[in-house]
Amino acid sequence: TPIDDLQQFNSTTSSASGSFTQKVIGKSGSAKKVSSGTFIFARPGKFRWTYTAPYEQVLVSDGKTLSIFDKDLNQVTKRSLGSAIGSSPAAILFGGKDLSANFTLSDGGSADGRAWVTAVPKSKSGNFTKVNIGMRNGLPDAMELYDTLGQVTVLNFSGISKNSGAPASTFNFVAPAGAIQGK
Amino acid sequence: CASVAPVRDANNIDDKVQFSMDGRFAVQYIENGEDKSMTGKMLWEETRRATDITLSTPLGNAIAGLHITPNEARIKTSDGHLFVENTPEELMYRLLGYELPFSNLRSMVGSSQKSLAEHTVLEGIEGWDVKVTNRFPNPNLAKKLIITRIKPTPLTFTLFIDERSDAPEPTE
Repeated sequence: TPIDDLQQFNSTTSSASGSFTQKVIGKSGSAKKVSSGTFIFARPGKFRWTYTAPYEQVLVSDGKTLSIFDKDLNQVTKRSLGSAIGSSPAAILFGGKDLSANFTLSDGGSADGRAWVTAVPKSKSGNFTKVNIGMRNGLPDAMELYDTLGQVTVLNFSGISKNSGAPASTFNFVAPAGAIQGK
Repeated sequence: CASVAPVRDANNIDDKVQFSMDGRFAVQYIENGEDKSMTGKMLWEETRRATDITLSTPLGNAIAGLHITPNEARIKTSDGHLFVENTPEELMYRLLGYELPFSNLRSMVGSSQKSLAEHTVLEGIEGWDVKVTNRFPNPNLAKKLIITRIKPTPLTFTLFIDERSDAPEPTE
């Protein structure tokens, strides 16, 4: 079942990398510009999520601290990962191995060539009412994130490479020269 | 829980979105004597009756929705709480511990009728100084603003506007 596939992916994948496209659909239904970039993660909780278009922004987690740098704003922001990852989509892909600790999983049927899993966060204080994960060939291929304020974030993944390993420095954030630093 | 913003009726002139902008923001502020910062995305949609501001995380999920009318400012947070104050500044102070210049932001970003030349500094909009450091090509409207204040506590609000309805993208 897609749930088994997702759990299998989670339990057998210690690291992965790939590309994503992201579209945010506002509560009025209007879709904003598609953004895209690359990601790499290593469990538990380490990831580098890089937006390359239409702007440059990178989010780096070393498992404890999440650092965010936005080139246009020229600012670095840091925050503890715990409050950031919680029951967020990052927890699904990059967090701990057992999804059912944070989410109630159910079969979401098949659509557009994917088998879907619906994940409802167990904690009511998170930002999401539900997350749909589209599985294809045993890999998460798409995600739909329904936030509590009516926006839907649609992510599509491609070129996923599993357990390809990542040098430790991948998850260390180094601020560009001249960037405004904040805690 | 009552939804914050009334469902918009696109055929009603009062509900037609007359101005919108979508961008990224960063805030530098001081909390308990320590330099702190926050960053996120902002969608600003204005009708004749009200302004709706959606604040999201850098990853795109909404964390707060503000609904501002001339008489009040209300906010619904992602965990379902609803707060109401007289002004957006009071609302943000209550939630974040500092104000953000939402009441004046519309005039700060300017319009084709009234716009700041680049690198000029508009001082003293209720204690905020505004500097436009980047512009859209045509019409030549503000794209990046650095908005600062000293009192009651030093704070810098940087806004980078990715899209604004009065500065359409050049068609390829």
